[in-house]
Amino acid sequence: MHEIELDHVTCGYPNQQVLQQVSLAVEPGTVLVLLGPNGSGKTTLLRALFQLIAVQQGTILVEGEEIQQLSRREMAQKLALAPQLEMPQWPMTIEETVQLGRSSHRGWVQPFATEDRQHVETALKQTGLTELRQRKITEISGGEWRRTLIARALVQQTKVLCLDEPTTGLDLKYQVEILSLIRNLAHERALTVLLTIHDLNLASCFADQIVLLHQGEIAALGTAAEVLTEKRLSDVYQTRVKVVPHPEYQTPLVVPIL
Amino acid sequence: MQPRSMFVVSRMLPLAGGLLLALLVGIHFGAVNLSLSEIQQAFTDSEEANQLGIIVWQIRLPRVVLAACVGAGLAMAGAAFQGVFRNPLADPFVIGASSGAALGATLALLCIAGSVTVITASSQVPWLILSAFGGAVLIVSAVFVIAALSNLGRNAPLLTLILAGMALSSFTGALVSLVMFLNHEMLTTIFSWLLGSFSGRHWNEILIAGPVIMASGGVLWMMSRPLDLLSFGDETAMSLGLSSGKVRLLILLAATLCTAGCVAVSGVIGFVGLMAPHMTRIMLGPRHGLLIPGSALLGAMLLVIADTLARTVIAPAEIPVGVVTALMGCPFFLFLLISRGRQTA
Repeated sequence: MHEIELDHVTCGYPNQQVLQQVSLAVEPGTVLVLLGPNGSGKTTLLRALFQLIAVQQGTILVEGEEIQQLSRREMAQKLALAPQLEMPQWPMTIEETVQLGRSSHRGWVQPFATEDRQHVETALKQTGLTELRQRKITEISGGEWRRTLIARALVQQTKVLCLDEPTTGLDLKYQVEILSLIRNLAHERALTVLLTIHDLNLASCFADQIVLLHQGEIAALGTAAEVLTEKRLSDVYQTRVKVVPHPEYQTPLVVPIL
Repeated sequence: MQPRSMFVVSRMLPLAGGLLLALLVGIHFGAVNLSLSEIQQAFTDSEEANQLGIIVWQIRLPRVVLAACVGAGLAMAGAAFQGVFRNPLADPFVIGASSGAALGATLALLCIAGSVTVITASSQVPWLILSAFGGAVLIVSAVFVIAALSNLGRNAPLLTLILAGMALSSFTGALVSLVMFLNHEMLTTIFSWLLGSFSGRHWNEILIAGPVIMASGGVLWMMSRPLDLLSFGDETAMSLGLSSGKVRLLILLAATLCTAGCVAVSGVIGFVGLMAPHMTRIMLGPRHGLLIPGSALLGAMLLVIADTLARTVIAPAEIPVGVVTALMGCPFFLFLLISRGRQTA
């Protein structure tokens, strides 16, 4: 059984369809990277998966169940999201923020139990936040905030983890650190990861599979070597590029030509 | 005991103690100052008919208890509105509850009083309370309907709610002004109601407002975790398993009911609903599970103190308690803002 399955999904906003007839199946334990120019539908695909935008046609299955049939709470037990834009409003601590990721298992009033605290411990440790747990989220760096969002998604204990541009606004060190963390978690916990990103070369290094979106449709799907070809990228991004082998790995390296 | 519960107890106890002290001080001061032993005597004596018993049971106690209820209610509603709107500037009146209540009360005063110029004890006129309550609920419902209509198919009604609230508030405010302008002889009566007061309130008001405030406050407290989740924004809250739309509506309804209950019996008392949650957040942190009961205790304490000042400073006359809360609250609030800014700088 596929972990996630999109079958001819069309969705968008009242005056504009963003995704058109997208079909996609993701195997368990895969790191799938969604690539594409601005407005190609990467974030919309994630939003459709989380029912944050109505699917107009087609079906989305998660673990074989139709997503429209699930309540919000059931969905949060199957899918976790680390969103792209989220501004902390009140000065909660990192630990409190992460703990709230357990809400889907406890509902509105049931207090958090030992089990929840253990999951929080583990997630803090995995994201390297144990020492910083008492820091206020309004006073931490961009990288620490990203890691907090990932930790909060991890404690949901879902099989699917979605990250919307987890590296945006981070310097190179944190970009690599976050993506390595995500890939290790995916392989350790057999998580299925869907993430959107703009950097083609980071995608090339870290993805098991890449989906290249173009104007709401899937332009290509496969491994980095299969998807990231000169002609296709030049067409989709309308920019001339050269694809060369990575000096260290077997993956392609994309360089723009000015 | 776990460190967390130690923290809770160590921070909540002073607040509860402070409220108790404020209540005692409120009972102590008045036209006749009562000693502690006299207060004790009034409480233990089975004979309530004597003068001491009358002062404590019929005058002072209902007044401080009502002030405490209203303070708690406004503070809880304020904390909830700030949480839902993710905006520290929100207060219980942000979506029109106060102006609606003012309109309701004004119309009731007009109908009941007719040509009578002075209404001393509003407890004589439960219509006033009901009318103010109805006005608040009516205007807030109108705000909801407008926001819903203008947001059909869209996903971010928060801003529309605030804007519709502001627009309708101005509109009803203008209506109240018009009524006042056309009825000169009612000016003082209406105006003093608008400024907020506990003058002449008795157990009747507590019987009406108390249950409303307690029930809606209880609902808000039960909504603590949803409020925490909503602070991350709607979409994140949804992805964490919350049906944001429904929950937010429930919270807004409870907070509005709570506000309407307060305004109906006391008029429009500003600043407590804004200030108490902020002060509590500094003391207890931003988690609503502590913030809401903490704000309730602090709001109750602040309003009991404010009301005690209102009726003693220029005794035998009284200052409207809304004036006291603003005079007392504003400088203190600004001090907090500045000192907190310094801390983080």
